[in-house]
Amino acid sequence: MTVNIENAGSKTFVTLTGRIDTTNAAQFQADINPLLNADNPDIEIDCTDMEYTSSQGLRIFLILQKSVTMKGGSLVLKNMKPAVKEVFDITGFSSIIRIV
Amino acid sequence: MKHGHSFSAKLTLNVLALSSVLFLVSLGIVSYWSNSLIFEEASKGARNLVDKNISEINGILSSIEVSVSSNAWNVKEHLSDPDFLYHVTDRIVSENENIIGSAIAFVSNYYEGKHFFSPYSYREQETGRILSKQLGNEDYDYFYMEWFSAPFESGKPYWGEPYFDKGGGEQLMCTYSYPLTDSQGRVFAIMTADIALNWISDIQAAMKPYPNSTVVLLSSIGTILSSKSIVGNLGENIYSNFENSTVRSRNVDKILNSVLNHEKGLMQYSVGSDHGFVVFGPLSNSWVATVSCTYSDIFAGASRILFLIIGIGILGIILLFLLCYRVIRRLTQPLSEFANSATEIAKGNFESSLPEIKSNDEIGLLRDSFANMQSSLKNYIDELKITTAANERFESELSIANKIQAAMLPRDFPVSDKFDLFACQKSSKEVGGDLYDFIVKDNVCYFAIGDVSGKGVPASLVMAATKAAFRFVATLNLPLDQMIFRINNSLSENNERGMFVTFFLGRLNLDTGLLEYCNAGHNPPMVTRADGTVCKLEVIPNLALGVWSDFPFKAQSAVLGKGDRVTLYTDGITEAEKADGSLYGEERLIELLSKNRDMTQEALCSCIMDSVNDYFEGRPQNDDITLLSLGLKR
Repeated sequence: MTVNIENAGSKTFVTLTGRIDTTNAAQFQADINPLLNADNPDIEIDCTDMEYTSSQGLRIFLILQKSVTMKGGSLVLKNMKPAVKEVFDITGFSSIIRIV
Repeated sequence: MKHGHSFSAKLTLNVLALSSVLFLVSLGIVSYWSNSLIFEEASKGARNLVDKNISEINGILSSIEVSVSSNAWNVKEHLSDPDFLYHVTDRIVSENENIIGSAIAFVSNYYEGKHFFSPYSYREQETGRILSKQLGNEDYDYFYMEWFSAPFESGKPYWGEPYFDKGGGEQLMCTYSYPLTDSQGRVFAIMTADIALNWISDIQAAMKPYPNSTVVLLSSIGTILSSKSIVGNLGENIYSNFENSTVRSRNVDKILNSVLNHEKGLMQYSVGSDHGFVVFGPLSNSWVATVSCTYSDIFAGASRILFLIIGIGILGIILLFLLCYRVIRRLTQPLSEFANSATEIAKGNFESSLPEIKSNDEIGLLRDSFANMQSSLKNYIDELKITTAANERFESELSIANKIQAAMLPRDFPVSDKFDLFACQKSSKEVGGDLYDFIVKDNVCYFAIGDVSGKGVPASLVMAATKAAFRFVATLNLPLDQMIFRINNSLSENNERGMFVTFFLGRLNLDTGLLEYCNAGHNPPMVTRADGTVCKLEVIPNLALGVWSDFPFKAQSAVLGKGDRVTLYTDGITEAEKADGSLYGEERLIELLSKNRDMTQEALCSCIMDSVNDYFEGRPQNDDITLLSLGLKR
């Protein structure tokens, strides 16, 4: 699993690659951490190459969404694979996180 | 326990080998150097000896020459008085003790009518008296004798070859001839002096430089003039001796040639096992003085010293060995003690004592490092013990937590003629976050299944809280969406870690078969109809519990006929993973459900569990597996 973060002006582009599971969830949280400190977050996460997420991964997306919501910013997940999207749908996370 | 040679023995042997080599090399150098020095000295001594020999014999010979020549005028004065000439010969013999006889031999008919005339005086051997007579006669025709003819023809003084005087002195003799000439230069008489040669042997014997040296005086053609020696007897010829010799020799021919040519010099020789050198030089009368020295004599002293040095050297090396061995042993003794200490420490005896070292050398350093290692090891092991104990306590607490968690799940499954329900759970290694629960009350059955995000103690705590909330709301007899709403709010409060629970809550009326349910982000349960068709229950996802306070959950409903069943499960089943990474999936589950539609809930559950278990192929299970199944009987 790799996380690539790029800042372009006020917008932040994130690229996720690989699987998020029990073994690397803590690493994923640490990688995502800088995004939680932004003042006016405008985050776009590209999930084209994201293979899988476990419930721990979902939890971290949830923490990120809560932080963004609290600061009045925006978070968008793009290009999600159907199998991954299904996890978001089943758990109802699709209803609180914007997936396009 | 010995491991080959000890360190001290090895070191000592090395030192010994090196010092032996050094000793041998220096011995060789010293021996070579001293041998050449000794040879130089010996040859110098031998040359001096030969010179001395020559000058001594020359002195005697010239005294004889003088004795004769100084009386020549006396003969010439008294030629008119032939009888007086006997006085002259008498005087020559008596004046010089080396002269044993003297004659004045005149040419034929010098005195009228006298073919032979030769007054002769000689020393009688027994008495020492000097007697006189006339020498020449028919039997002793001196004109043909060498001592007469040689000087007569040359007109010069002549030393004759030594000869053995038979009938006279019975000894080896030699004659000096001195020609007398008249005013026209014609030789008219030969004066002679006979000398015995026994004194030569005495002189030669006194000159011997070494016990096995040979000092030999040779005549000009090689007759041996000194007494019996290794090269031959008195009077024998040295050349004929060597010509007849069968002993292998080297250089002797060259030496004899040089001697014959009256050269002066030094040459090395070897005859048989005898090696040495010869110094030779000519006398005034063409005789040759020689001195030979054998190497065994010359180097006898040096050899003795060499043996002494070797003896002392060997003794020294033995002493060096003993000393080295002792010193090195004493110095390396601590090493074997260290080895013992290390063995003790390896056995776990950290208090084992170290050898006392007072020196500040490498051994002292070793001791310091050793002591340091010992105490570090001791500390490390102590810490490890504490850590291990803490880990053991932690693990035992975890296993207790696991048991407590398992005990929270109900095991008394209701069985009636109207319906049956069974559930089972198989935890992965850690305490996990799956839960199920059910309550049967007044013909109504409340049931639930849930999966907490994450694993471990945090998940198990959330799981316990969720179960407690379910138990509480189940007593309130509220609409399902209200029940879920309350559980969600209780879990959402202060949920800063973002923990959430996917949850499915259902209520089945056992009389009517009405199934009310509310899903909170859980995967939809499977419904198996009596005819064997299997489908997913239509669910609104809503949202997992604990995510959002006051989320408006929506409940749904369906109807179960007799023989229908609803099966709830967690993703531990569909996401069970094989070694190659492929997942168990829904299809296998659906097939199992359809095939075994007539089984009791309990048999079905154990059948599914076995199937999933087989799927792992012995790999450890990657997530909790939870299954709850209930249905109305036919």
